[in-house]
Amino acid sequence: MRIFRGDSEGEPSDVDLLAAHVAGDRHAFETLLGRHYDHLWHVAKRTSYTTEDAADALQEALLSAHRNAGSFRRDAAVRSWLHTIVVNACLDRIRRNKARPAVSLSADEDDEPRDTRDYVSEVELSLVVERALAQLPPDQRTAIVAVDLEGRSTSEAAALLGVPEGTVKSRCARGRKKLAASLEYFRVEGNRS
Amino acid sequence: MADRESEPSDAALPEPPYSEDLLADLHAGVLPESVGDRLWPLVRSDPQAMAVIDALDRVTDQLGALGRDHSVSTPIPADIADRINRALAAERDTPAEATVVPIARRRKWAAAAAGTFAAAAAVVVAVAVVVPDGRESEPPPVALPSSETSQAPEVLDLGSDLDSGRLLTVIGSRQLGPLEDPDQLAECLRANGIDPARALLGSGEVRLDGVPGVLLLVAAPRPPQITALVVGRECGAGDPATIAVTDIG
Repeated sequence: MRIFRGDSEGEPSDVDLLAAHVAGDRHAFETLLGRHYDHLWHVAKRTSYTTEDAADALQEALLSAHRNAGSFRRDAAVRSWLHTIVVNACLDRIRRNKARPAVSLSADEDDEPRDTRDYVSEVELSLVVERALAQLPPDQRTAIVAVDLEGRSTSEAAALLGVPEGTVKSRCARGRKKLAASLEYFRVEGNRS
Repeated sequence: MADRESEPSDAALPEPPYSEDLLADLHAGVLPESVGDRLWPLVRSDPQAMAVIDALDRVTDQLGALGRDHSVSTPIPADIADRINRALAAERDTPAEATVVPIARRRKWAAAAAGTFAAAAAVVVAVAVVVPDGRESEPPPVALPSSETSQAPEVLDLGSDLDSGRLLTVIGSRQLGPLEDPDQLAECLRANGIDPARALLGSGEVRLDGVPGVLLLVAAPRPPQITALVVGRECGAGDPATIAVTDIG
């Protein structure tokens, strides 16, 4: 159950809530999560092979954040800090589950409409890209999330995902090509295969 | 695609029109450098090929923008949020139950011995560091009676053991403290037998068994593994100042 604690004096900041949690406030962390759960869930889903993995990784990440809140440094936003912990937990889960065959977050788990071609604004473009990303095979999607969205180098992504660098590059290449095609960025006709 | 890496450097280059697969590989750096270096000038002079490269650039630009957008969200299913909240509540209510599985650790280890830690590190379970319980007191590292409990706010207290879960929390962060100087960092890694060219995945100022140090997570030579190295603040040329080292994964 999510707790939203709106004090009459105004909402405490994220940093205040984290500090309160570290100081022993029993509800501060859940209040904080109430603000960020949907973003973190979004991030966990796009950085995981399956919905179940996303849920498990998110739980693992938030337990870690709960324990290690004292290590939070004020040079980052709390949301960014949580975001990074969730991404790392998801990638680490993929690394640990490497032997398991990839099962896609299937299209039917995404109840968004598919026909998005007429969107024009930046926000809507993000949605279009996000949906195209969700259609990629999970190995390509997670490599692209690590490298292109999260800005990790290929060597970092390789280490986090537990695969050789060449594999990360190759997955990125295939994934980007599919994205360019599904986003209709390839305009040149010719003898391409 | 990836197996093109085995092509000899003097292999004949593909002829235009170049396939999208080939161009995507070139764009992503999949092709061996010797092939890519010769192919790029040809591709740059081919408008059709460049249209594909431009499309791929546009994709990476859009993905980068998406990554920077921290407003994206998907409603979390209530059952998943409830499950996580219950797990958090359980941990909050039973902090003393945190389990510590000690692993052997020696100071001044040679980095070459790191591999022997991998198996032990893999079974270490979570160690609670901060589990507030409604009191306004300094949260103690639980189940670690012999460790120093004081904790500066900017320093991650690792307790007395290298817990892989906690070590990995610094991935993506860069807090090098006294090793901020790239030359000193490189010398420090070299002194510990680690190639400075290996990717630094994260770093943070830490306290291990009460001893202040710097945690460095570097990509291990075998990609599934990550080397976690804790060094003293004086680490540098000729002085490895190794406090602990382990491979994760």
